[in-house]
Amino acid sequence: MKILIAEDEPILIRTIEVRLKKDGYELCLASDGQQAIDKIVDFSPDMIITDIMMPYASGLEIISYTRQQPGKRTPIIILSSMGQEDVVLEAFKLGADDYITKPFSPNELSVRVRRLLAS
Amino acid sequence: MRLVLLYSTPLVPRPHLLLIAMAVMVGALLMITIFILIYLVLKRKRERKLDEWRDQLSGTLQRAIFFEAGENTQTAIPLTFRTLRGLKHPGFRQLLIDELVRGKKSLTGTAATNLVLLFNQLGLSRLSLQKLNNRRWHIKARGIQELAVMEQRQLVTRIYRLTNAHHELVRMEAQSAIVQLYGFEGLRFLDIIDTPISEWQQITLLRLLARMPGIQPEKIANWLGSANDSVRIFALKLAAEHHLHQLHDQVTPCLHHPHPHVRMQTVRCLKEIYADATSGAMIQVYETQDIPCRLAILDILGAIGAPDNGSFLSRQLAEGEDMLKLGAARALIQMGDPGLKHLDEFPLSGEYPWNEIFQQAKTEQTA
Repeated sequence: MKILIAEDEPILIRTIEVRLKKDGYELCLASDGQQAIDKIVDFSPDMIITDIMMPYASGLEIISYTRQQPGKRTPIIILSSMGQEDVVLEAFKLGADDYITKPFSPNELSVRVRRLLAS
Repeated sequence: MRLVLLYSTPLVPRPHLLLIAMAVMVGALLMITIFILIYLVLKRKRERKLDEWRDQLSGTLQRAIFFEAGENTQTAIPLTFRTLRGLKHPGFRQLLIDELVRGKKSLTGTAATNLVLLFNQLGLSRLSLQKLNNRRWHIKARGIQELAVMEQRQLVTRIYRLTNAHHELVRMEAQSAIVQLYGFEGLRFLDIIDTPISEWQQITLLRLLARMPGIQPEKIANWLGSANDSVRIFALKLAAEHHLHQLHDQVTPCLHHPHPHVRMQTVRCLKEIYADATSGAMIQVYETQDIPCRLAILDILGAIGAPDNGSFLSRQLAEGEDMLKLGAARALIQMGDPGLKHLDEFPLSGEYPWNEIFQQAKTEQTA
């Protein structure tokens, strides 16, 4: 299973990388929104985990772009901060499947990823 | 005479002066260029060093985040020789603190606990504590934030002293830190502060407290009598936010407070905790309030919707400014059928400006 992670916080992206690699996923990392959009077609992920606030393109733009792509429907988990409820709702409207609020536990993310991929 | 001629004629050719001026200009330009080059080289060197340290720290942080205590009988997070050597450099130590703080803010559970463990293991609180003694406010504020995020509860006394600091931003950071560490209990600084709590800070504290249990109404009741108006306003906001109906009788006297902001906040608070006596208390003080406060009272009387409020609101339709007439009409409509009946029975309802006002209020209601 291939997962694209878009997150601009180095410590967080590395933590997610270590945790999900341990679970056996193939990962592709993007440190800003534009990088993530560029990698969606080439990498063809089975899941996208994206932060909302990122340089060059936001998580919402990534969701919109993904949903415009023909073919399979890629599940998307968004990483939001406290007090971003409106943005989370907007993300769901655009087609996000799940969200996790920062601060979060890497183990919790791992469980959510597994559950969403299984469903 | 010769002197006068020499200095009063502007067009006398003096090529040597021109050459000197050009040399000075070229020299100055060269110096600026050299200065910029040196600055850029040093900046680049520093950035490269930081990147190198960041790479070095990444592994250490990941080992800490996924560290399992007791694994192989280890109780301390293992560190590489390079990390230990790097710790001798103040820049490296600060970078580590920054990364730990950033990580702690984004992670929970064992991962977050382990980051605090590493912070304690390396005695980094000492460095954050040193910042509290710094004369520059932003360094002081940074130190407070580091200690709060890394849960250094044993240093609470040092932070607590700064909750009434002279500099507003230091004070704000210290107050937020105390609440972050101790929740509602941390608000005890409200007993002593003589400086105002800004609107922004009140929002920050309310946001922090929203996620924490342990609200104590008796403490809030004390702050309602504070000599510091901003403390009183904040207590009113707390009472409203947590719907503390038991404080109704302590809140109501604040309607007579000399400061209009306190009175306005009291009205807003009473909207959230109203009781049978609320309408009467507000009608009693209505005439002594300024217009924004009167409008707020009218709105609340409409929301409460007691039958006696209808006749009072109806009387306000005939008096005062158009703004107040509109406020009263809105409140009557909000009351539902009994209020609408008052509007219909109002003798001047067909005349200007009442016809326009009633129309506007009804349109707003249906919108």
